Amino acid sequence: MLLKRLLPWLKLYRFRVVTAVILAFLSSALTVVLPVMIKRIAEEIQKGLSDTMDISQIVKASVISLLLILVSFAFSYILDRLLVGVTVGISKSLREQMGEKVDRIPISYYDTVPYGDILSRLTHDVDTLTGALSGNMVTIFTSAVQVAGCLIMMFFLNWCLAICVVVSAILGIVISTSLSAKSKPRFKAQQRGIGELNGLIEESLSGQLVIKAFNCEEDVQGEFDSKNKELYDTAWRSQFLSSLMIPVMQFSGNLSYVIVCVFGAVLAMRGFAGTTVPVIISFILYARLFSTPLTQISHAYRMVMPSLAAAERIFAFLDIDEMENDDNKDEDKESHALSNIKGDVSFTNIRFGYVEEIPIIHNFSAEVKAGQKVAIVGPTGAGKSTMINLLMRFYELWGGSISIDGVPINSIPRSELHSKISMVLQDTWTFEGSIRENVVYNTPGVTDEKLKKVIEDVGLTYFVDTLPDGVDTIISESSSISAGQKQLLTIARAMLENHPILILDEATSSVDTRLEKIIQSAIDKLTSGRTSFVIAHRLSTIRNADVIFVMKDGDVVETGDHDTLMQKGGLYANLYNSQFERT
Amino acid sequence: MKEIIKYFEKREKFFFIMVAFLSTAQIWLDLAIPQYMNQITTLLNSGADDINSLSGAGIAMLVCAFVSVIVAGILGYFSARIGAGIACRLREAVFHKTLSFSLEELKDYPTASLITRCTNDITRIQSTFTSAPPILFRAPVTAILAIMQMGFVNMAWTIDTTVLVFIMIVVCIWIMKKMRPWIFRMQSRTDDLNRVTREHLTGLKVIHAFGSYDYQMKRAQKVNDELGDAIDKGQAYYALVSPFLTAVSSILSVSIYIIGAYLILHSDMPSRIGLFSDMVMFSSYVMLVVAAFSQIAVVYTSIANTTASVDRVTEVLLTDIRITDGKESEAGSESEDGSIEFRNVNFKYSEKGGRALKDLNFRIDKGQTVAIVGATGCGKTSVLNLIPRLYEATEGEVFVGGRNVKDYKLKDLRGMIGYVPQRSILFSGTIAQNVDYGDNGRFRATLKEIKDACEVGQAKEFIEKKEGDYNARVSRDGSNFSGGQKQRLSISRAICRDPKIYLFDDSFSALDFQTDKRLRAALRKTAQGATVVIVAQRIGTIRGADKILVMDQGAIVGEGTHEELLRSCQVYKEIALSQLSGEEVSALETASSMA
Repeated sequence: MLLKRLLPWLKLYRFRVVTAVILAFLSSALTVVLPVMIKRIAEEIQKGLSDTMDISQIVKASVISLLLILVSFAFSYILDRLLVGVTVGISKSLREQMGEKVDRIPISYYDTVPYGDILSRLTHDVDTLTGALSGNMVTIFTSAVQVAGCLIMMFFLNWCLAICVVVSAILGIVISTSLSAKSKPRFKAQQRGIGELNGLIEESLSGQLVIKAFNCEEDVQGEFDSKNKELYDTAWRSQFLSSLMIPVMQFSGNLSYVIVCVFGAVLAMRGFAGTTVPVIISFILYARLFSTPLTQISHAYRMVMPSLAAAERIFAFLDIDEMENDDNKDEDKESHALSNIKGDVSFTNIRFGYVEEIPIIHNFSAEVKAGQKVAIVGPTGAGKSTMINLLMRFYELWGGSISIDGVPINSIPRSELHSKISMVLQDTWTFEGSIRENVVYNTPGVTDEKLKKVIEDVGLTYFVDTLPDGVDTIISESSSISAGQKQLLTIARAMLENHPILILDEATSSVDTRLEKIIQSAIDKLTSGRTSFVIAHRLSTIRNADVIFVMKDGDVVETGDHDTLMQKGGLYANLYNSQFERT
Repeated sequence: MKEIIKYFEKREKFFFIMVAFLSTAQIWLDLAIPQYMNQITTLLNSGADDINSLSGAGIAMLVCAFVSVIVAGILGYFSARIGAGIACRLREAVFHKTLSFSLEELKDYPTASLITRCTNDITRIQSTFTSAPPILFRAPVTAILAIMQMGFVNMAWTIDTTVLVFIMIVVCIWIMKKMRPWIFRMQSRTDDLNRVTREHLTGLKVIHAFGSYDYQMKRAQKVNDELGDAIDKGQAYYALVSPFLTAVSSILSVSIYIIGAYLILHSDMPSRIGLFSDMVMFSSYVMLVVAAFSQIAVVYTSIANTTASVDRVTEVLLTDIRITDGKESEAGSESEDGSIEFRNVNFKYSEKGGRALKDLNFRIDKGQTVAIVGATGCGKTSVLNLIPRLYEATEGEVFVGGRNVKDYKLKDLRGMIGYVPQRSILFSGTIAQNVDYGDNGRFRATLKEIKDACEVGQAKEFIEKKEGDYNARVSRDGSNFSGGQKQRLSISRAICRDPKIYLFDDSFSALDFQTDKRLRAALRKTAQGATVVIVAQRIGTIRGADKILVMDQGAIVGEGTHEELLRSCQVYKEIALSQLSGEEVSALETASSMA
């Protein structure tokens, strides 16, 4: 199953894999021939017991042996290098594929699956799988070839003794596989235990601030310790059971040694099947050459076991249903309708919910004219951010339609849609990189002047100037940059992108109001002539909107500009006035 | 490594001794087997047909092999206990240590890296400590025992074996040394890869919106390539191990026979049979030694990887914790009131960085409500962080209840404080568990108290709509709640502790004005007598405060009530103006002057 899934990747490295197979054959064949040489030396020496030995024969055999050893060394080294290259390549493309997959999965998937779980598939599981592959693929492969080669040579030399060796090896394999079958469920239990514990660790470390402030260290430690104790029990049990495989294989090695010695001696005494002491000597070597790789295979198999679970999780992730690939819609005429976008947006009878059967938006309809500045306000949970998610087509509608300039958004490719809209979200997102990288991001053709201008527009010039490397200063998790500054960086990023439609979802909630006013004028400049959507709690932010949608429980309950709504004295006026009342 | 050994308990040490003892016993048994082979060879070469003595030797060999496998089984048990035990203890130590880190130490370790240290690195240590000790022990002991046995037989063979085994060991160590930097590099690149992947997942919506798939892919690819390169370079050395060991062992076998030929050629006839049998036995010993060493190849990478993991884990264990308990006993904690005072406080996040707080001096009396306002990045959060001593003031002193925060036991200090951070942090569990969170040193909340806290925190309404209300599930990081709901739960949690000091760090930003208003009204009643410090952006939220501190670039530039500041503080006036229209401000001014 696993091999079947990995096969396409192996095919990419066809040449190297084929070369590796040939080299493995050659080097194992050389190793396997070696005992024959030693047998020849031993035969010559044995002659010397009763007669004179032929030194030149011994020298010849020795030289050949040394050559065999050296050539075999060279072959197996090259082989190892080749296979390492293959596993590194496979793990790289596996990561790449999973990385691309992340972008093709519908966003709704991430609502249901804990995000730590996906992260651990992308990192830990790929590590486990490729770690096991790179270390053990070589071992399993060469060992298998060696075992096969030994078998052939042994039967060629003496079929009686060969059968003895094989029987004792099979005995060892049967016992050890039954042991490994027993240890499998315990192994799974261990993986599960590790998973649970890792979940707890990750959660605690990211919530450290609260744990400290609330004196919760002891509780968390207590929970951790008891889970850790459970893990200890399952861990040593599974380790113990699986560790038994090795002594069993060693025993089967010893057993074949004993059988070869004793049975070989009996055969030699009876003069049966041409058994002589040198034959027994070479067979002792074969028995080792045969059982050592078997032991190694069983060891490697033990290492590979946890990786099977990892592989399952990786392929399960790669098999998740993707968003429809809509790039081919490009050929539709309709998409070009948006090349000269005006910016009319209409929402018609929208129905939507995140969880089946629990609608959040019941029946939302609204018309936005090109160039209007639209504000969406309403109590928490009224569905404001949901509207944005739908406009960006992060989620699919249950019913109704959204269209831009009369073109339904689900009839154009997502990439086309996204290239018309700039968006700034409440959850700021920055990555480890320079300020320049974070602001310019993937917008092409941004000059230094342009960057400087946009940083000035969002009021960050002073901040950037105080940094040691200016715009090239690296910002990371550990650099002390405030939540508000992060928001400003993301606004700057969207400003540079400069698309015809602008969305600001609580984009300035952590920015102080004075600064917000400065940015506001920059945003106003940006939004003039463009359709823009603004979600904000701070009503000062939205006072000058052309039209305000007041939402409640998934529906628009009031529409109009600030003055009309204030006169109306409804929900909006209520919300607005509450900010001036004293408590 | 030394650091790790400290974490062995008596039990593990005993297990270790058992492993050593049992391994020696097993090796001794394994070495006994070829001696019987010696008998058999002699028997065969003398041309005798003595099935009885043959079967005697055979049975003895079988017994040795069988006892050896039993011993190995027991050995496996002890090894498993050692590996699991050390992993359990280390995991505990590392986790407890990271929990005791103050935010200062946490800054030095990205969260992702700490997580890998607690998880992957320790799993790796476990598997190595389980499989490696018997194997590592086995190789040299087999070599020593075998060489000792051989020593009695013939010095030429012994010297030959010793030299080759020595070369084997030296080369293995050399390879290990060469691999190490690459393994380190590999692990730090793995950290990078984790970080980039994390960024990718958290920024998914932005990435879709910007269509920046290629950009993101390039970032990942760079790290991915570097990781692949590091693995490749490290493995280039590792690839030598197995072929090298095979080659040396083959050379060893051949050389035994060559030396044998030489010895037999130069000895007299009668002793030749004995020499021949010795040679066969000897080559069997050599096989055992070689087999033991070839097993090292199997655990080789895991050992090399583990040394790097051990270093990463010990780095955490050896980190000094800068914020520790003060010397005061818990007495008195009841008698402290909720006043707060800053005296000449300066604060820097890092030694090289600029001052985040500059010469702060202010006093907040017990029961006062004080608001802190100011521009983005002016140091408001830093002020709050110094009060529960999440960070340490670089210079100057912070007093709570008239006592320097450094003198408190951390638990007592934090037990007095209800902190609501800027980013709402929830934990997987139930709502009740999240609200009744932690320990305030006094009580564990009853369900009624939890309900009351949620009512004040304006969370009651949506909680009771949930299935299972207070026992409803909270997912990791509260992902099944909206931003506003998370904030209300996080506020309820602080209320539930019934603290003497409330710290709200911009904790009302995701609430609409009406909820915000209701919440503050309810809080006012509940928190009577408690000190409240609020960091906020909205003038509406803070204007009712007893005192407002206006901050600008780390310094206090205004202190007073809303009305006073409107008149006297330019910065405050600008903030107010930016939120209210001109008429509203002047209306407010007239109203206040009339009052």
